[in-house]
Amino acid sequence: MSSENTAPDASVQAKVQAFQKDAGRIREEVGKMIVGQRDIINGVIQVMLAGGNVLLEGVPGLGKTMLVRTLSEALGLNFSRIQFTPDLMPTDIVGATIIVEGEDRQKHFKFERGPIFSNIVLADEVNRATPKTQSAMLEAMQERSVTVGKETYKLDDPFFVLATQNPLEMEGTYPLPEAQLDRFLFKLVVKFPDLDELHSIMERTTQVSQPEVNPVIDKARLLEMKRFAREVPVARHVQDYALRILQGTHPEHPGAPEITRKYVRFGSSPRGAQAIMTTARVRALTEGRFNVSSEDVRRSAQNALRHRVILNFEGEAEGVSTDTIVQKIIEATPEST
Amino acid sequence: MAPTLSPDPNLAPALLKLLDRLERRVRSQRAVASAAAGACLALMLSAVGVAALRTQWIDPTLWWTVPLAAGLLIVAAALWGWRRAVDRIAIAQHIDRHYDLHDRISTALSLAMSPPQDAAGQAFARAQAADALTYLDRIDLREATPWQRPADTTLLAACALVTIGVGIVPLPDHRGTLPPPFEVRYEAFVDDATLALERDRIAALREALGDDPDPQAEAMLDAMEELLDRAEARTISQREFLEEIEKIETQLDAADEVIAQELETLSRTLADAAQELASENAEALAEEPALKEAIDALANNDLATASEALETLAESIQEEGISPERAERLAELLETFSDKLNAEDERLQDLVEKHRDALEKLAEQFGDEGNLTEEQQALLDEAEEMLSNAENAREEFDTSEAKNQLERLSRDLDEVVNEYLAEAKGSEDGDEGIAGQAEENRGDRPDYRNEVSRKMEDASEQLSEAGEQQSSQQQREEIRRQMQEMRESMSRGTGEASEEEQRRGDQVEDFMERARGESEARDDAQLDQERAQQQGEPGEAGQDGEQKPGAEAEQAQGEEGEAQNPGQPGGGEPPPGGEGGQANSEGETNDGEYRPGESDAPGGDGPDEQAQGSGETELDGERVQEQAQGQENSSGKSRAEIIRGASEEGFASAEYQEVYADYESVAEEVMERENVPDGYRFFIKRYFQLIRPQQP
Ligand SMILES: Nc1ncnc2c1ncn2[C@@H]1O[C@H](COP(=O)(O)OP(=O)(O)O)[C@@H](O)[C@H]1O
Ligand SMILES: [Mg+2]
Repeated sequence: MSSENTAPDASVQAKVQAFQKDAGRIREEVGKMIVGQRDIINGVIQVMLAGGNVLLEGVPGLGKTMLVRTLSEALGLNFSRIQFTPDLMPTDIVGATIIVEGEDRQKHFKFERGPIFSNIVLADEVNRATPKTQSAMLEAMQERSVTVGKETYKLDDPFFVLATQNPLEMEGTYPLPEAQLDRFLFKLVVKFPDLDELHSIMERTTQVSQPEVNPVIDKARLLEMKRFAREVPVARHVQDYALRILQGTHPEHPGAPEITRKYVRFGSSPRGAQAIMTTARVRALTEGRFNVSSEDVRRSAQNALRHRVILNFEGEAEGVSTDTIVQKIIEATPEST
Repeated sequence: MAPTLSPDPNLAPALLKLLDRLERRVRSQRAVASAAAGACLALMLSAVGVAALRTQWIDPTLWWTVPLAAGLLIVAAALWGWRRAVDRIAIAQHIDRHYDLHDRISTALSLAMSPPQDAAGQAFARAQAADALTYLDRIDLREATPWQRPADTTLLAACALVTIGVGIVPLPDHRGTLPPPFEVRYEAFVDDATLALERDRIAALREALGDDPDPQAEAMLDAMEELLDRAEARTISQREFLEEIEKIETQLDAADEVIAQELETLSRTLADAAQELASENAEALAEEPALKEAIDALANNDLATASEALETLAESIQEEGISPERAERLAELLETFSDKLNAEDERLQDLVEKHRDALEKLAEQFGDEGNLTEEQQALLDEAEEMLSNAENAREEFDTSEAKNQLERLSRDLDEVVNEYLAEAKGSEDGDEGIAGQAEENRGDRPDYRNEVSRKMEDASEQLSEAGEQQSSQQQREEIRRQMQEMRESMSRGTGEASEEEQRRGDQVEDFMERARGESEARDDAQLDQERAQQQGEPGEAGQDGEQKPGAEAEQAQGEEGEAQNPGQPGGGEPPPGGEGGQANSEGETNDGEYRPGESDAPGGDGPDEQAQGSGETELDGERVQEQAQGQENSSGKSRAEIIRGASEEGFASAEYQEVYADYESVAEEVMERENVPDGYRFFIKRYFQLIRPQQP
């Protein structure tokens, strides 16, 4: 390396190292409370640093609410939780304009902000609310602003939504339409903990001394990290790899693997590739790397594509999991052409 | 993938060097791989080349082309492998994967080739490159890209084995001897008996030709014999056989026509000249009876007699000498004759002139040709045709052998005349000094006579030569007839060589052999006499059969054919109808009408041919005689012997009457039963009439 290039390189190197360190601290802090679920924690952090939203799928009681709360504590951000129920109204989410009596005893309208005006929002069991309520929440999530009457209220930055949904087909649930699912960067599937983890959970939650979660980074640092993550350069051939995986989800594409053509009705939109690339960048940085690797792409692709692949009738009938399909597509796509 | 650009100069030289080395390594690896593939191809081609060399398709001195071509092919394949574009990114990715470098090297290369646009990105890219460099020391190219055995070494080995195998395995030489060509064997269309008979007859004809045969006749016989050989070897089909015979006949006809024309011209010219001479010089000729005889014979187209008469004249002059007056007279006559012969050419010339004049006059008379009436045109055409005929005749005469002969004859005559004139003069002059002269010339005189007679003889020879032509034509006529018969017997043949037929063929052959072996025992003059007696005509002792008048020959030959039958060993009972037909037909052939081969009479073939062939020569008569004798020795009096006896003792014995009755009834039966053509019925009936027993 030539000497004049040393200085900027040093700063980049320092930033990368700082990023890796901070991300690691967040993870560690969250890990104080949450037993196991490393992939979920990593995924959530990646999506958060990538500036997206995440959908967690899992049965109740697996610590999803706990994860979100812990995260908000670790980041020193405010947090709100919306429990979605069939009778939940959009105003319950975004807020409502109410008449209030002021100091001067004059009555005037005032917009009472809903729970969505928060840095981290937990939309718990989002599929239990009516579509109307769901779309209100998802619209706010997408627009990062709320419009009530003539007033538009910008949401906080950072703004991060974690929606959870119950995979069980229960009465009175309203599954999220595909168009809505596309708005989540990742869909993470929370798995049931194994025996060791269960022991640990028992130890941590049923004893007197509860672990204490402290904020490890502030809001400003979080925003800086988000920005820095976007600077990571991606080599053309790596991006190419991601795009070829995306193409593999399209049954009409000539290079698509057999399983795609057999079970997939629609492949992922380019949003899927966007999700892969943004989260892969974060992943590279969290590992202290200066470049996005094919491995980053592969890892992100699994989480970014599983809810973007829509099965055809045959796929539904045979109960093929989209996870399997995405896995096969990744396996079928060579790193280099 | 991004196009391969020149690497960023900022990229660490170490990385660049590494990539260069890596590229060389990949290239050489590829070169080896494609060289191996090329070697497979080269070996396969070599196998072909070796096979071609060993089978002489390629000149063995060009052996070096095979290894050269193989070598060139391998080098070309290696070069192609080396020259193929190398994707540096792809090989960098390979290193990344191998060392688990998370695309550090490949990204560094990629970013160096297409650096980010913004400053932050560029800084990041530099940091990335620096990061990548820190991993260089752990990269060992030999380990990352181990030397790979070319994938198709097994194939290579197989190809090598094939090539070696082709070199070892015995291969046929394409220039080696070819298998013998397929021999066409036609169906036999003629049985052995017929063949043997035909052969025998040809042999007899050959003998009849004598020591100095007509070359054309001999050639014909050769051709016929060859055809028979081919028929026996079955290398010729029946159709071809018949076509060949026809071809020979056609050739012969053409030749005959020419000869006949020559002869005609010659004898006509001679006859004209002789007639003129006879009428103009009747008085002078009356005093020269020998010459008159010659001239008369010439006038009658009898060249042989004329020749004889001239010879007699020459002899008499030589013996008796000649008076001056006679010499002068003879000279005058001969000169006149010679002039007349020479005038022939002029006469033809005049004829042409005359025709031409007539034609011109005619044309003048008619005036413009455009105004001719149809009649006039026809007249003109006729005249023109006459003219061209006359011209042709003259031309033919000019180029003909006849003219040559005439010229020679005329020259000889002139020389004789000159000698005579000299003699006559000498005698007149020598009145006073006759003694002295006589004495002086005593020794010369016989010489002079010899000279004159020699010239005379020359002239006579010219004439007899022409006469000979006539006789050779007759010979050919015989052969032609034989050929026709052969053709007919061949076209009739079934070719089914049944056991019966084979046996018969053997018998006939056996018979022929014996007949030839004993041929001297027969006196033909005796036979001729017998014939003459039966016919009530004077026999011509020693004469050739051909020279006999037709009627006599007919009878004689008919007899011969009949007499032969007893000689048939074992097969002595061919139905008489067949025999009779043949024997009779034999006689008729001289008239040129009858084709004995066409006879449908059963069992007629073998004996028919035999009778035919033998009838022309004395040889056969002898043969028959001997055969008949052989029979006599072995057993009692057979029917054949009776018939033979009848031919010698006359058709009057009681036994002969019986045999005759038998045979005739069989013949009649056959004629009723079989479809015998009417023409043949006549001959068969006539034959039986001729051999009808006579009242003792
Ligand atoms: N992985 C875990 N680590 C620690 N505690 C856990 C874990 N999973 C479940 N728990 C315990 O289960 C309780 C229920 O968790 P919660 O977050 O309410 O579940 P959910 O929101 O998914 O329904 C938590 O209060 C926590 O004590
Ligand atoms: Mg919960």
